Amino acid sequence: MTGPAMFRLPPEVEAQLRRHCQEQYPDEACGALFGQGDGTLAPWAVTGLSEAPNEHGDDHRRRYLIPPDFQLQAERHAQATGQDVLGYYHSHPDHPAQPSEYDRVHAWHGYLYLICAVRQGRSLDLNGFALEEPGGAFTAVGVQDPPPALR
Amino acid sequence: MPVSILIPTPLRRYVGGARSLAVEAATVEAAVAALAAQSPDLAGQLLDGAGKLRNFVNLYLGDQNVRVLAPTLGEVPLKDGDVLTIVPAIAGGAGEVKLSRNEILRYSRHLIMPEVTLEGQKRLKQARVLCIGAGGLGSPLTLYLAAAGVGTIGVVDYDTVDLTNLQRQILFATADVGRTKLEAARERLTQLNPEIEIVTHSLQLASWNALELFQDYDIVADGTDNFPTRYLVNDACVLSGKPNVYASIFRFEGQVSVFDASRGPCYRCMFPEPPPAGLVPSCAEGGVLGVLPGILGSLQALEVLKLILGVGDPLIGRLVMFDALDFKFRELAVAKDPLCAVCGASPSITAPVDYEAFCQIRGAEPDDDGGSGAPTISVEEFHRRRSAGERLHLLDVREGHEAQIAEIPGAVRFPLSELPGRLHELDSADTYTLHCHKAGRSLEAYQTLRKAGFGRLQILAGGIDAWAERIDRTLPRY
Repeated sequence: MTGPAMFRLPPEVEAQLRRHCQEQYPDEACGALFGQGDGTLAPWAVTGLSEAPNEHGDDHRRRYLIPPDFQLQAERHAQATGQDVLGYYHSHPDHPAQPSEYDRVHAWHGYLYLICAVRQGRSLDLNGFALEEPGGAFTAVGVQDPPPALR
Repeated sequence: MPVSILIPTPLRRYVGGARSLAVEAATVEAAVAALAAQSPDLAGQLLDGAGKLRNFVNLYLGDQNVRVLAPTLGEVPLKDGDVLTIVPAIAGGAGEVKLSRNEILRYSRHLIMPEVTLEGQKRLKQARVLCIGAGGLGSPLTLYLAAAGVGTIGVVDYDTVDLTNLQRQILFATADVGRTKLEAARERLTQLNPEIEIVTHSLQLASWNALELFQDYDIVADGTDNFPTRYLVNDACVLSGKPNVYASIFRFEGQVSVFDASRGPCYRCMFPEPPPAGLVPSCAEGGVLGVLPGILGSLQALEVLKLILGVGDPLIGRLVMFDALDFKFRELAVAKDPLCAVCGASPSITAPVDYEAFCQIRGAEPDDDGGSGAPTISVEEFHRRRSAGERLHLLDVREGHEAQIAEIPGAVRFPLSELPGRLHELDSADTYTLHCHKAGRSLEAYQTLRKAGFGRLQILAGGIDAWAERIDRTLPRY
């Protein structure tokens, strides 16, 4: 990896992600991120997402669990469209967009994790994170702005 | 049997980036073993020490989770062309916030209120509030937020505690004079509530650091006393989507409001441009009744807590003005300006700008009299020339009650408020040196006299405060 890890998120995908996180408030929202990736900490270029149901039985406000069946469908969708599952997003209702220890313990090295803070039903900061190594610490992944459109 | 195994993105690095692998296996167990043989690291990700599939790894045969097909992987047979998909479990979440026994007792008067309850107190504990300035407003603000159990309180300041602060800045004690405000604030707030985190930011808020700083907080509370910082806080709040709980004070008057551009107007909707230089003196120039920031800073704390708890009607789109002399609260509706330069439909400000230049109100900085184009003379130079016998006209533009505290010998009193009506007493052919307490009103007097045709003017840099500090130490400073 050269330089800090970055991710790219088209405005329409970001809008969809924020909308989903706001709709699910005060529960946590979660979903899969699609794009092209080989599992290295290269720039993640997210091109789309898929909203997942939150199957955490006990506490939807503090936890999320993506149903494995949903993941299978997401993997199938990625395969069928020549994409990859780049990572997953989830919201932190009334909590900063920083990964919790619970997030870290359950994270996979190689996935991009986007966390969106939602306060009072309104989405705020959206931050990216990735594990530095399997079982290691989270490192922040910066937003890479797309190149400006030429006129 | 030739079967294929689909590899999810995070595990591809163990198999040379392949999306899928073909293996020969008669059972799922054999297929996993064949995969593990390709990479010991991959095996460690998938299997535990006993060679069983880890809890947080799911394996699908077609559409079926193999865990539901049979108790052990060896019992799941494969046939030609089967597809196995590895699905790493994805879970996480913000994590549980808990209150200790001690915290429950400490906040019990909150917990029994139906508007707060345990749920609300947990919200307070999770909240992150950034207070700009540890001064008159910041004192009650941070004290009440800390007492209420706001989990993370950031404080921005770069000043040290001065004896003149203690008349209103109740965060500090006499023994704190000379210490940095942040050090003293951290100590005091931690003494009040050791359950919370105090984050100190020893810096001057600037266009290049504001957005990064605000990122870590949910709410910003502006307790600054100058226009460059106020506009910077406002714009950075709009740009980063943070609500700005604002208050300001002057002498006997105060204002408080909540600017949240997503739900209402911002400060700039109300005041698109800062006032002309020198028109609004700072507290150092104009004074403030000590209890006034106590009232306004407490109102700020109230609005911050309401925003966190999501209760009541926040002061969005409303400016409350308090007149302490008449004891009147007045409320003014503030509309969102669709043409607002920062929160309007097509904003011209899309990043924080250099507000010092934008405001051109150097007079708001008490010791600063540069940047206005007005010529200045140092107290040392003035003293040297006058001692050498040079005849210099020194005009004291402070109000009469201030002259009772201290005066520079030989100065003629020309209070700023009387200046326009007393111009005939001056001769535009003469050279006048202007002084006030520090610099703000001298600059305003300078501009008035310039407009009236006086060309030979200079400002005594630092005013009587600099004189008392460096020339005549018997004079009291205030």
